[in-house]
Amino acid sequence: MQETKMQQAEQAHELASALADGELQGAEFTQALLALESSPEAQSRWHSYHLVGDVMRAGAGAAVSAHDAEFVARLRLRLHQEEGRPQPEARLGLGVVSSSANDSVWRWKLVAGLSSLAVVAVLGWQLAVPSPQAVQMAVSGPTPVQPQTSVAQTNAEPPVMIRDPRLDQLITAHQQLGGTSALQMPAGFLRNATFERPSR
Amino acid sequence: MPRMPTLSWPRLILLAALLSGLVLPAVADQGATGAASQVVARERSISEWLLRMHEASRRRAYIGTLVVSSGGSMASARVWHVCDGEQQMERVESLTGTPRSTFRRNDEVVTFSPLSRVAVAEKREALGLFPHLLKTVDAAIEQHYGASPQGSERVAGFEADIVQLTPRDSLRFGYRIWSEKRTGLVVKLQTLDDQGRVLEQVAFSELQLDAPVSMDKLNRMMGNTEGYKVESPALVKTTPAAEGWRLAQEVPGFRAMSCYRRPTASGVDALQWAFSDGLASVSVFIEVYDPRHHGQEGLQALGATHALVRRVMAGGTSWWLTLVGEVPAQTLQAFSQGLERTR
Repeated sequence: MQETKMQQAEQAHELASALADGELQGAEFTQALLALESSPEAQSRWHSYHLVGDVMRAGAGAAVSAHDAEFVARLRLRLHQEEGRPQPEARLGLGVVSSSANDSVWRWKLVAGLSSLAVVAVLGWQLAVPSPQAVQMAVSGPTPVQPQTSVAQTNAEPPVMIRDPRLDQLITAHQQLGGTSALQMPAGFLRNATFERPSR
Repeated sequence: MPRMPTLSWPRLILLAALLSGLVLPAVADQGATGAASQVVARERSISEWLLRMHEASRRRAYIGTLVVSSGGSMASARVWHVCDGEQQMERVESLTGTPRSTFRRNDEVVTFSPLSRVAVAEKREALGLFPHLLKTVDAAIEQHYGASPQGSERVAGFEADIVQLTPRDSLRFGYRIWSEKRTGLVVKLQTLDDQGRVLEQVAFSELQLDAPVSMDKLNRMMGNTEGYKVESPALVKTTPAAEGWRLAQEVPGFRAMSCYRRPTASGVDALQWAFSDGLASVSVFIEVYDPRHHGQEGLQALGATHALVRRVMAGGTSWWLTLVGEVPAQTLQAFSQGLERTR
């Protein structure tokens, strides 16, 4: 029994992960949505993955807090719904919730607790790991990349700076075939896959 | 794994006490190893550096954020890398500019453009060349570049050895490479001009070494072209001799690596003849001149990449030459001047 639960949780985890990575199609996609609808664990995972993704992309920007606020609002609503159910103790006005009735509430609190733990962990990690933007700024700060004007021209005729899409196409072709460099394998391929020539 | 002998409690306590005493000698030992590795770092040849960097990418799995700054522009991507000794896989998701996902399995590359719903599938033979390339051109690399260690620095949270590759002539650029101390992985790379100014920089801003990356998952994602129009560039292998061209005057250090015919936007095939000195590469594109498509001659430079466009007369025909490479403009001039029509 315990094992089956663990398996289910593991499966929900996998599905949420795959869905967040955008790698599910067709039937798998439908299955993942169903799992997401029915499993709080999957929902929590889904949220965490998105939060991590948002943090990775945007830093601790507005997108993250908006997303988070939405999640908290949903969570509150669900908690409210759970608490709003008629409970014998509540009707008696005892104010003490017995273990059987508060089971689901406790579960939600656990989910909430885990979620906030995940948020704290993610934010903590975000503080520890500089965001791409911060690093971009750091990179552009101390070691500015010089616009290329400094290379000595041996030719007497002054160079004409040209930019046309045909040329860009050939430069791309060069980069695709230009893997004949020893630096290409560790770094060059990644560089070319990352760098997009600025559009005009 | 050796079987642990069973230990009695008093022995365990004794062992624990011994272990706590062992911590200090262990740290001292690490210091000694560090000093030894620095000696090794000083003595490594260029080929050894490059091989170590290549081995690192062949053996390690990692996830990281790569930032490229070139010619005043900046781009970044999220990178997943995994290998099982035989196969190498990579996923590169652009975080800036047009959304783009690039997948690589050894020399197979698929680039997904979600906005245009086009996936370009290609085989990049050159990617499979390494490290064989080192065995054939290492003499050329050693001949044209010198390597000098420049101490160490922290990049993306990792201690890295810095090595500078300085060109011995003005036909190529220099490089400064940050190689993670423990694994050798390239974590930062700068291309430098003759004044030592940074033309281009590629660096991890964040890196998770030995990260859990699933090769199966990447394989599935790479193969999932559902909803995409799959295109493959029609490259035809040829030889310069068959096309009627030769390089009468060789450019020192550069060897011909490959020659293809590839279709261009104008509808006429272009010849692409690629050269490399082991670190930098140059492509020479040759097309028949067409005034409707070919406009202005000149030079373009963006970061370390230079392009030279020239109209030349040869064998009674007007040709349109485009030379592209991560080399100084004068190297491209040398190529354009050395080119000769054989018929």
